[in-house]
Amino acid sequence: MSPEASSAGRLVPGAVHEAPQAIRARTAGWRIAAGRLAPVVLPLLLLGLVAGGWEAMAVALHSPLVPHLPEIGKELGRVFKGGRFFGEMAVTLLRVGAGFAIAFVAAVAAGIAMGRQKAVAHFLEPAIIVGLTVPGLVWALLCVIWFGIGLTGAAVAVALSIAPALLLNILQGVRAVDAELLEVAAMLRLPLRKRLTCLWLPSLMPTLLGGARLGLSLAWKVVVLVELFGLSSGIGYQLNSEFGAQNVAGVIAWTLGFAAVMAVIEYGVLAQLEHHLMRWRRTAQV
Amino acid sequence: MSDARGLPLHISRLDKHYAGKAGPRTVLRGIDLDVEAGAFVTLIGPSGCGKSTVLRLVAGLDRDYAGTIRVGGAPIHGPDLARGMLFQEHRLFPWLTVRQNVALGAFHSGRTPAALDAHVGALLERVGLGHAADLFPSQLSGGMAQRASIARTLAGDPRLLLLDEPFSALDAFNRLALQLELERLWQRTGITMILVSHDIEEAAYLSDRIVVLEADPGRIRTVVDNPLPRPRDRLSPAFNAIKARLFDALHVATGTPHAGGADPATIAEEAL
Repeated sequence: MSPEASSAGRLVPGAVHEAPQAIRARTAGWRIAAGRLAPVVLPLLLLGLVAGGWEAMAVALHSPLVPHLPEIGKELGRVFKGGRFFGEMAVTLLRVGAGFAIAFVAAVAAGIAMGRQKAVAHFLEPAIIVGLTVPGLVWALLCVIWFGIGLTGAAVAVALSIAPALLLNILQGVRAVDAELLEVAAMLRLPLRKRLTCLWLPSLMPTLLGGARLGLSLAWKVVVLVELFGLSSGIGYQLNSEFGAQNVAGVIAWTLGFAAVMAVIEYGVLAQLEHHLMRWRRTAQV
Repeated sequence: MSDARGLPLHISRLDKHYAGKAGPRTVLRGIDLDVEAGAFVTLIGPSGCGKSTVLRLVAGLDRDYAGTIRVGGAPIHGPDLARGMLFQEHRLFPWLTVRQNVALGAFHSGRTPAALDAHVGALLERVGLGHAADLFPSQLSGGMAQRASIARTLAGDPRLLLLDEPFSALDAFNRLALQLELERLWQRTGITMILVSHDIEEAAYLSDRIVVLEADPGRIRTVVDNPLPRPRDRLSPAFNAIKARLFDALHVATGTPHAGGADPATIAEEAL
């Protein structure tokens, strides 16, 4: 029996004459059912509310700038027809993946070095501060100018935009690595490779997963800008052409598809990965 | 195995200072200690006497000291698997299973994966954890975790074992069981053991010699020899005599009047 259930039994007015056990049992049963359904029902509720609100706005405004839900549905059909969406998405994903990989490896290496050596930390600190303040838009523009159109420019722009945030995140994780385990690694004379795989990476795993989420969300925003400015493929390019045609429903359709893929990556890949990698953790009972 | 397995330890004129805000603080001053190969020596003393610092210096975890430390006749340069260390906490890697943790300890043994596996299995059987090999540390009790930690240290084939209050966080039953197991391990392998403890009975039960330290700065007050034959009987008068000497050396009141002290009956009479 949870403490909430018993306190609810005491606090509900008018329920004084009922046997407290009955109230507790009923509340507990309701809680279990709600607990199971909540992760499915509540997100759907939000999506339904937003869609309903949008449709109400479309009806009220009667404007081509706010298309009705069926129009967006039709655009979605067009976008997904013949696998067009997935082709463009794959192109964008490749760019994000390449940039993300570069930034991730660089941030892990620099983060561990900064956490272990004060000199390296002082040396790289300005890079983080400046890097965090430069807008992704600037990197997108510069990389299109420097590298022209192609995978390199997009990957470098993504890497430059997300590396500072990733690094800051990882640095905090490095500073929190258990000093006692570092001593054990020293006593066992573990070589660098073993220290990385058995101590640093597992210690940093929660930070790295959090960083991956943050980095991916930033990466999308930058890659779309690069594609919008300099490339003739990818989600950003498609968004730009819909924008050129003043097709609001098209822009929304591409964005919805994009968001759906993001959700799959978040819940299907990252959450599963986290569950697997963190299985050694004792689950909290409270 | 023979007694020749253990490494002797020689410490002379050992000083250690910590840098503090109000100038350097002396933690150890003029420590002289010789431990012959295969001996069991306990360092005991109040907190702040630097007993753990001695172990950390011998382990090679801290190389900032003055004086001489020699293990097996050779000066020390950082940690070495020949000098194993057990900590008060089990310090297992929480994301590795018991088996993987122990295997890390034997990483340098140059065994083939199959041989390593057999070696780890044998070590786990020896510490009574054969059934728990694939559990994570969070699934172990305190005693089991400390046993796994012992197996990991033994996997490196140490010849000098540094024990930094390894049983002090355990419940009384586990502590007694592990003291017994440690004694058997020591007798079977001949590994030199240096134990840091604040448990007088533990020191009296396990050691050949007990080095009593005092604090501010940490220095040796006295050395108590413990020639009692093994296995030792914790309830025997001879054992209690050793304990009494330790209590005395540590200036701990035991709750009974000492010889030469005032007689309680006299005090009672005077009060009336």
